[in-house]
Amino acid sequence: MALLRRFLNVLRPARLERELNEELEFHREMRLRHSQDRGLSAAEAEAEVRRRMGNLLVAKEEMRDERVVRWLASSLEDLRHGVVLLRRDPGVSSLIVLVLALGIGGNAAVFTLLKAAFLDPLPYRDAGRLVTVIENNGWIPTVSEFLEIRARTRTLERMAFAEHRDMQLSGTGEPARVFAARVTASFFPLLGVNAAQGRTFLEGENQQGRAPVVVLSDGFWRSRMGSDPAVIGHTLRLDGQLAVVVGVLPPGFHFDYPTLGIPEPVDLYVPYPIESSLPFERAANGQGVPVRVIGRLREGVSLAQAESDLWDTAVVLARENTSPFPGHPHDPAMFAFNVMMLRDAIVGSQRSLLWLLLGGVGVLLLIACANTAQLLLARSLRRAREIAIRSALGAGRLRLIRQFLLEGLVLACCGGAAGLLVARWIARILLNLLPVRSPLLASAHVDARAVGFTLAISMISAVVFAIVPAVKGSRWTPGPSLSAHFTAGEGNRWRHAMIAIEAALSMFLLCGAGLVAQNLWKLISAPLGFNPEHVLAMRLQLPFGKVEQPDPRAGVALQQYVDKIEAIPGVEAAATVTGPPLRPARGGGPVQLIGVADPGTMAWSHQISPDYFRTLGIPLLAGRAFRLGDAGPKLTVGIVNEEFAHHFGLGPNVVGKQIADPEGPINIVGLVGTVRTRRLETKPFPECYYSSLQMSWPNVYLVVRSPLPPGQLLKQVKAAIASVNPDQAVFGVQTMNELVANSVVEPRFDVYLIGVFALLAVAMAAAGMYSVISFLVSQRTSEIAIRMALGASRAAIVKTVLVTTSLWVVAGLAGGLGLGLAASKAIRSITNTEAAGSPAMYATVVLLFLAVTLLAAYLPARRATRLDPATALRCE
Amino acid sequence: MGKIKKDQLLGKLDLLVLRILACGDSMHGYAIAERIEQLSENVLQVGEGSLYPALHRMDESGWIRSEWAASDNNRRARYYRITAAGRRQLEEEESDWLLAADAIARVLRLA
Repeated sequence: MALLRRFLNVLRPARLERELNEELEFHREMRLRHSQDRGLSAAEAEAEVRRRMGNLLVAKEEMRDERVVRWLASSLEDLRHGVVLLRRDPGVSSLIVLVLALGIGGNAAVFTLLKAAFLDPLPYRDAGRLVTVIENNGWIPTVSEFLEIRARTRTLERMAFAEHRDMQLSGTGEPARVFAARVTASFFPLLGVNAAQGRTFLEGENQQGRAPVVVLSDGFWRSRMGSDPAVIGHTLRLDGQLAVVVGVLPPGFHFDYPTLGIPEPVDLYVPYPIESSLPFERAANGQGVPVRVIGRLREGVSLAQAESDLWDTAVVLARENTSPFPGHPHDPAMFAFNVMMLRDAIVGSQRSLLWLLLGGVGVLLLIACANTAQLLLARSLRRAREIAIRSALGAGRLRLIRQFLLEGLVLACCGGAAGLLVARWIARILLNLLPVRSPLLASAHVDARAVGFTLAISMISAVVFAIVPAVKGSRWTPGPSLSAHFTAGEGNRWRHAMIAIEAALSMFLLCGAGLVAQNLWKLISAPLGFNPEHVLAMRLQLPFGKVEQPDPRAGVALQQYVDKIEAIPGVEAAATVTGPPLRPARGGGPVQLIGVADPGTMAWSHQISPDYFRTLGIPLLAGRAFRLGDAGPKLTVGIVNEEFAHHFGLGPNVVGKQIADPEGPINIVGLVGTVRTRRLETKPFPECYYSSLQMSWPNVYLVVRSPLPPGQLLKQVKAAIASVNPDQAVFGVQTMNELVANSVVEPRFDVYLIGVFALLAVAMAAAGMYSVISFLVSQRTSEIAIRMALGASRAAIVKTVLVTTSLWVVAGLAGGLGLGLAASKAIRSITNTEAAGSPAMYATVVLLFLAVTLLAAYLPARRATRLDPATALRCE
Repeated sequence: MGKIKKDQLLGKLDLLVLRILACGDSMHGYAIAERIEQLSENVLQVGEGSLYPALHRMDESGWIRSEWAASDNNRRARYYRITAAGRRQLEEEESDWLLAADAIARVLRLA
């Protein structure tokens, strides 16, 4: 209580003063009355009392000290003093606040992103126990694998899946494409979501042959249904079937993370029709429909326990399913699944981006602090007289240091408050720049924790940038400090140390940028294996049949489109493929060659129409491409890539070998060059191509090679397709060049980002160096003038001015280079790349840095050599 | 009759104030000073410059408590009252003082 009162008294000094005065005044009056009672006249009494009581100023000071929290009261005094001083120098102060606001704001913004990624709860019920099940090669399970896991799991209390696809919405005007998710009835209860109107799905609606129902997203309901309040019970025509609207989801609900393979917001949800007697199909074989499986861990179950539970399932599955290769039973590892926390899966590859961001803004803030320290150091030394006078009047060294720190704190708090305001915008800008949509990061917001963080880094940076000026500035020597001729030669070593630190930090960022850039260069300069020029790619999905079953009829239907397109004047070639390079469709499995001892390998498989290799410019190395005659109800021919032949120790003579298949051997008729199928950075993989006229999925990519401009070409392609089937929608149109560019958007973004950080850092370090060298030159004006008058050469002057500074800068540079080399492993691991920095890259970076440094040193050094000795000495 | 300078009193001012207040009533600063002078038959004179800081210090230490109240001439005055902690402090200081005074007297007598 007493402490609280003393705190309050600090804040209301006037009231305390009034009370003290009143008490003493009462005392005085009592004395006065006492004197008058003894018969003295008013004037005599007055005089006696004044003599008796004397001057009570000191006593009052002592009383006041008893009544307040002393350190707080004096801090407030210093603070007030500090604010006055800062306002006396508004230019420098506002510059410092601005730089700090950006530095602190950047850190606060990145903190909100990190918080959204790693701390804030996901918008689902009990999200801490939500997991997703993936295969250990990163693929996702199929429906039948899901059913096996659900039947056998002992560690997941509830499971659901979602499968995303395009659907055609017709019957309401022009046929349109909508993005739909087919889910189990357990999907919404698992995420803890109730319908805003109507209901979500019932357990039985996942059975095949039930009347189609649909649940709308809030966005779809608003934009496409005009927020119709009576929408429940309406019907929509989806993929040609009438579906009844049974519910509308609440506005806040979304489950559309690109990192989970869901590229865009979901328009509507339908129940997934699960076949009652589904044969066991492995995703890796390219059979079965891959689905995004989510589940909730039972209370108290760890990830490791869940994984070992799934391993038990894998062992059972390996035993129960016979291997296609007699004598080689399945390895349980083939059936192994991993469990990943849903949050980790959602953050996915953005993790590296976030850490890069944090590193970047952190280093920038440090450099900003170093520059601020320079400015404050210069100012604190300019205040030597004031300090000397205060010390002479009895201020202790600690009190002086505290005053400097408090001034720093004022600056940092202003910077922090401004930073908090801009943090929101910085976070928005970063999100808009992000190459990939990120609903998780978009939910980033400034909250109490972000405010706390900002406050904390403001305090820390205040201490970081104010400690050196405080310690140096509070030291004084009576003689020189008070003399008018005091020149500020103090603190030069600190100045140099700070620019060395700035040099090291900016060099460190430059090394990081160089490393990331080198990695990007390696990616884009690697041979693609195909020619992306003048190729347009688009997606289409045949509006018939069961989309999850391969069917040669699909290939025949698609070939009709291809024939029409190839007839367009200006089109050189056209083809369909299950997935073009960099957009591979899933598919593949163990492959064994008949008559070759090797037990087999995993190979990707693609279904292509005959002109595919010609369309993409993939070189045919041996044998032949597919022909229209390679048609029929079962696979008889295949073409393999170089990596495949290499794997079996074969060259062009792989042509003529046969691939083992339960339905009869497949003849290898051709050998083609290896293509970067999956991603630019992944190693070549054994691959097989099969004729789409023998087996094809109904959803494919169409690729067209033509020198025509893309817009014009697309119009003609659409017309050609419509002449065959007017109901066929075409979507996802991109040139192959865009597709290649898109596959490096993330590494490219990393380069831009860290590059911008590095350049900012170098610019700030250069500004720091410039100001220090200018300061040093002005400090030594008279010395330089005398030496010039005595005949020193310009070179000698430049040497005098720059030699110490350059030693420090070089030391910083070496330090930064060392840091950069040491951190290269960390950068490689967070960006998930292999690239090691080459000596040429480091040399480039060092040269760039030296060039900027020279520029920063040139102007002040030039000024020193142009000094007119006579004028300079007269000024002294 | 000589007067004792206030510096010499200072060390024991707390003791005297506590002893006066221990009589029970709450008193303002002027009354306390008067009472000390009166009881010491004007040998001990209390200066305002030390009395008030001491009162405020003891108030903050919790030995005495202050409150504003109307005085007999209807002015607002700050009244002090001893607390339980103050009584304990008084006991301790009193016995210390008596011991010391006794000892000093003995030395003076026997030396």
